[in-house]
Amino acid sequence: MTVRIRGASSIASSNDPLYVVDGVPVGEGSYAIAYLSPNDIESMSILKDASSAAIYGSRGANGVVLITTKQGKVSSGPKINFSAYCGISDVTKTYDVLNVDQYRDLMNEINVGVNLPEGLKDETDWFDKTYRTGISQNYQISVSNANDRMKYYLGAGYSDEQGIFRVAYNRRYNVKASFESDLFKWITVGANVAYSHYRNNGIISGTGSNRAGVVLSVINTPTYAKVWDETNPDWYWDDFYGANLTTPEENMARTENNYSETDRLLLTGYATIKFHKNLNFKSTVTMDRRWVHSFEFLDPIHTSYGRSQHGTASDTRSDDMRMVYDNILTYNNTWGGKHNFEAMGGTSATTSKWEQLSGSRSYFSPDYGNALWGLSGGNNGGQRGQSQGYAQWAIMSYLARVSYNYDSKYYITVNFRADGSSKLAPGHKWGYFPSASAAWRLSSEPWLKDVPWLDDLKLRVGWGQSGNQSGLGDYAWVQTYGTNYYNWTEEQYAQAVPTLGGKTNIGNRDLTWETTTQTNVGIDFAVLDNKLTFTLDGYYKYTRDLLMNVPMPDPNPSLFRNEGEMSNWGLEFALSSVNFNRKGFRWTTDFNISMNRNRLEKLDLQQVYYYASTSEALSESVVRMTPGQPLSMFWGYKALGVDPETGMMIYEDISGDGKISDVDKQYIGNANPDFIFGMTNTFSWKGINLSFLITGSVGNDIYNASRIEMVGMYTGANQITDVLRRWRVPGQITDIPKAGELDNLRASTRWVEDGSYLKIKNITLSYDIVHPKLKKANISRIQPYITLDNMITFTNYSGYDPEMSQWTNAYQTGIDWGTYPNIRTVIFGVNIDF
Amino acid sequence: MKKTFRILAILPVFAIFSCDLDLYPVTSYNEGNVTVDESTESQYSTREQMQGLRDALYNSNARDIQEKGFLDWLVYNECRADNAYCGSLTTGEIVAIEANSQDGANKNVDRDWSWYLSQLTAANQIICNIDRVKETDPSLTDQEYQEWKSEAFCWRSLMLYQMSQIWGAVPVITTIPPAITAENIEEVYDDYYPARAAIDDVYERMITDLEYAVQYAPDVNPANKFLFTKGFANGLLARIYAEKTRQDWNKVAQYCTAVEGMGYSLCEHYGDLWAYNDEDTENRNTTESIFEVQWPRSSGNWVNWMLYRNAYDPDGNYSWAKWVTPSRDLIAAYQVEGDMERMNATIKFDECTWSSYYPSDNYAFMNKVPTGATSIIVMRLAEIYLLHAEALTMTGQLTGENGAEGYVNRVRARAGLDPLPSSATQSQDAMLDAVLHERRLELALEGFRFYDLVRHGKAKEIHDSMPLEDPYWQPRYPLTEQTILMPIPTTALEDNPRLVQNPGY
Repeated sequence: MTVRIRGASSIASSNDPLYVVDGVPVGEGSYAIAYLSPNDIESMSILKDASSAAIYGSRGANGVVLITTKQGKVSSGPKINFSAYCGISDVTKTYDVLNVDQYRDLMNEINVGVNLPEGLKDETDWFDKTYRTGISQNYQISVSNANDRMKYYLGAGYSDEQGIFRVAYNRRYNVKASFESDLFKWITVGANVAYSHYRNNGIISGTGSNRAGVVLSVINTPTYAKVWDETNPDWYWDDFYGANLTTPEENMARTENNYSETDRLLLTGYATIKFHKNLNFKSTVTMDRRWVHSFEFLDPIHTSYGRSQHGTASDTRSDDMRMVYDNILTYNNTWGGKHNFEAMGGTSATTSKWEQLSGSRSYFSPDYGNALWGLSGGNNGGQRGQSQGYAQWAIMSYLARVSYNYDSKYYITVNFRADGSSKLAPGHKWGYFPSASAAWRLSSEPWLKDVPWLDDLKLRVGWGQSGNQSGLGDYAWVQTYGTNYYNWTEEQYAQAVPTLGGKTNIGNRDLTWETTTQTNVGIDFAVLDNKLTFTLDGYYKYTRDLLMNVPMPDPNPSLFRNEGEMSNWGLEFALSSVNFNRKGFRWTTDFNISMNRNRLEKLDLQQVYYYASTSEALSESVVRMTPGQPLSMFWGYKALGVDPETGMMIYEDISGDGKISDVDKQYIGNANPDFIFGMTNTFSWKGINLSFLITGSVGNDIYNASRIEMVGMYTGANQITDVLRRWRVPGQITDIPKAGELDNLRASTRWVEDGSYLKIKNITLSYDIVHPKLKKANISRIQPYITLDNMITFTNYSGYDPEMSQWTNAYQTGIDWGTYPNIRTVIFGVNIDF
Repeated sequence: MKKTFRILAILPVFAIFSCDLDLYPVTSYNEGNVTVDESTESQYSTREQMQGLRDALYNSNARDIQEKGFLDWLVYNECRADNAYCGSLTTGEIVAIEANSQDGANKNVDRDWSWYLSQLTAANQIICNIDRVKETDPSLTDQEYQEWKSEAFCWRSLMLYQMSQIWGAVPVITTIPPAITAENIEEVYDDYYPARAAIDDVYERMITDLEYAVQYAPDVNPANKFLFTKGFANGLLARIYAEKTRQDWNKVAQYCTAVEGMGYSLCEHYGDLWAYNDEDTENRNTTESIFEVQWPRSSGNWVNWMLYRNAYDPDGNYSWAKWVTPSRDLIAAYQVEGDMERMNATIKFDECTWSSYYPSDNYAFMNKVPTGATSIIVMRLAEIYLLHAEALTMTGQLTGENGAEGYVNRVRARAGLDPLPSSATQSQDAMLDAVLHERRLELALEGFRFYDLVRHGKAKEIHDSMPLEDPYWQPRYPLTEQTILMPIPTTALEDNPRLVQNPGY
């Protein structure tokens, strides 16, 4: 899942926002919060502009998601909560594929060396065989309490999600404890411990069926094939009479014994010392440790790849430890009841150390059903079957902030940060990033104070700079050399030692921070007794010294360089209203709509980059990046339809030279949406709550590379029934061209589709059962609920789901290429509060 | 007061923590753990390092020839003429090369361009640094200096030779560019973005380098043919002078004679050149081999299963259509000649599960890499004999022991065939046809055919006529002067604005 705040402003670096849980940065990307159970989350908010994110420094350059987990709350006695749910998931879409007779017909038309014998029958429905209903369960329990000197929270849970493929799953155990106490009047200490253990496995995706991609092989495997081979019952079916295919069962078996297990331990300890009622000092030490164990095993019998490799196994264990040390001194004061002032200064240091060890073996014996587990069963350890990795990085920061407000009417904040990173070249490691914001609460002005329907009107403006370098390799600026290893099994090299090799990259002594400057203007409006609130924001972000991995012409290696400039601007509008709140019935609506326009402004050494080569048929890159265009623009021919006389696709010949070649390519699609929107409506009446979430995106294009494998008709793969419309006789008018011609599969508008959609993404109905008898049993509430997730989608997109994308980097989004499909889920659950 | 004291006493515990930002990798060599010479920016300074690079030239670089320098080279030579079909109808890039419909996006052309250029850099690691190492490390002997430099020259020249056959004018990379900084970007630009050198300059470079190697390369060693020797240097010069750019048949003959005087001799049977038994290949270090790439049985080549199958692992990887499938025209040519010994060594008939070109119970395969341990012979004496015969034909010496006829008959005798009929020596054209025909049968599926025909202007006739006689050939676009050369890959043109595409693409 990709989360993007205010567009993509980086190419080499990740564009993921920073997740901060209880004041501690826990990382970017989906792994960062994988350990959290949604049950433990109290609230979430998003910091979008430079000034508010300034405090988190470079790691917050793409925005910050603040998550507060449940702590103890002062109340009457301990609070216990138990919740459980069970969900059922299904794939959102199926396709009709050719039956054996239609398939034979097609193979006779194209000359790809497939010769089917007589008497084949339809044997297997691969959709039924491969996809299944996934069942997920989740159980969470928590206990919390607080009094005026101490509060605590304990939570634990278990979750088990089965994927829609039999080999895909995700299991998690999590434990969380937090504690805070006022030791003395002048010192508060606290600690948070979060531990989670999760284990998952997936499928081979992002590739065609000839390389064991599961999703496409469901369509590409002909129906005459069975699951198991007839002559060798231990083998998956592999006789395709000349076609290069493997069944989805075999493709799933390729990863069925694999798993990845992660143990994540987040320990935080902090102490706040109050020197004075206005001056306090907080010091925090955090350890974020991840142990990842990934294991792979492929047996030597069932799959053809396994047979050719004689079975393989590999095991990799890594240990990633990050320490964060924060020391912040804060002074605040109020004068004359109207002047509020706060100053804050401090340091933050982050160190990271990663180590890894892995081993692999091949040549496994099939006896006793692969009784020897892991590497022990393999005879061949390769020439250098073990490998070891080690990497470190560090960031040091100094920060200061001053903020002042007069009577909650006029606000001003100024920040300054100095960040240093080990990944950047000597002499260029430090970056300096100021930012400032101001706000004016117009509604508190005397001339607006007495307007009865106006509750709040606030004008905000901000400007700031932030730095980013997270996408760089750990030692991006260093000139590295290769190592020459010898084959020690050859007699002459039995005593050999490794020697120094040639350059493996180009070092860069000028490598420095990528800086984004953001200007932001916004209005907050609240009217009608705070029943209706709007906010409107406009922003402009300009990124300089864009970090990129620049490829050099052959034979030179590539280098990391501050290579270009990029701009983003956009508008965001959000509205929140309490439509109705009387006689126990309450209806609220939250709506937001936003647009972002992204453009690459400048590049230095190389002016054009190509990304995303998708099809196996013709390896053309479908994304072209160049200054003056946004990222993720599709590049190819304009397809003008099928020629009724020849059955071939007609492409626009822009150059007019009579041939269709590279010079006739143009921009054919834009993966970026024109605008996106979301709306939540909540109804509640006497304990019944109904809410539904609608999300949508308009104007985004999708390059449906999966469709090339479904209607391409260029190999022995089975196709969907759309190909029954294909051109066969001169004069036929149709949209599917002649079979067996690679020329009809060029990167073109034939594969670009409008991915605009409106989804009724989430519908939840719940009922609060509150009864005096339950109260006697100490139960304050039982809330059963049912949720429908991703149920209804309105779209013209012909693929599985317009919301999916094979790659998540900003420069090649919007491409569907055998990707794991999105699913529909029905969840039944219950929350019990004691 | 006491309180403040207590508070201040705790302060040191929370001292501002500062971390070290100067970090270098520890799992690879880099400028932080290796001494780098400031002026030349070179990381090499010892004899051992030069020896490591020289060993890598054989173990990594030469062995890497199997995919781009051998398999793809076969597609350019055998499948563009009359010897072999591309073999795999679903591999678009080789179908296009057979059909003469290749364009800048062709995957084979793209990967070959990158690989050949990277091999120039590999050779340059030695060539550009060995002079300095000779000064800094006295343990490098004169002989080692000369031999290692010559070996690097031989590899670089072989790569330039193959590159220039495929694309014509190519960049001649002879230096290792220094680091790029904001200050020096203008000066080093040409090094990082090399232009194509004129074809004459490419040849000049090869000839200069090989003339050094002819004098200083290692001597021929009958026990090790996986070695660039004086024999190889002379043989490569002979090949170079036969091509149109610097065509000089006297020089061809001169260099062939030099090779012939170095103690090579034809194997007793043609089949010996690729023979194997149950344990290991028997074709390592034959008397006829001038340069071969060797693999041990324990970690053999894999190109064998792109062409046929590995006799030591017959079922492994035998489930898809193989490349470079012998053509009906080639089989017929052998049969008309009565040339069974050479046909049986070159072509093997076997059962398989596909029938793209032949019935699946009797399918024809390229048989010159029958096992994973088989050495790939890049240059052998029979080729030199026939090249000598070609040179003698072009200078008019058709008859006699030491004329074209004599050399051809030596090769025919080994193959168990009768000497050439007298009609062959009637005219230069007849003799040339005979020599080219003999080269076709002797060197079939070894990567010579197409460029043999090109240098005598006979490629178009044979190329265009094949699909008309035999429907198993791809329909071909007519061969033109421009399409004899391959296009520069589009990705290379995009990365480097100084490169200009070949006309016609």
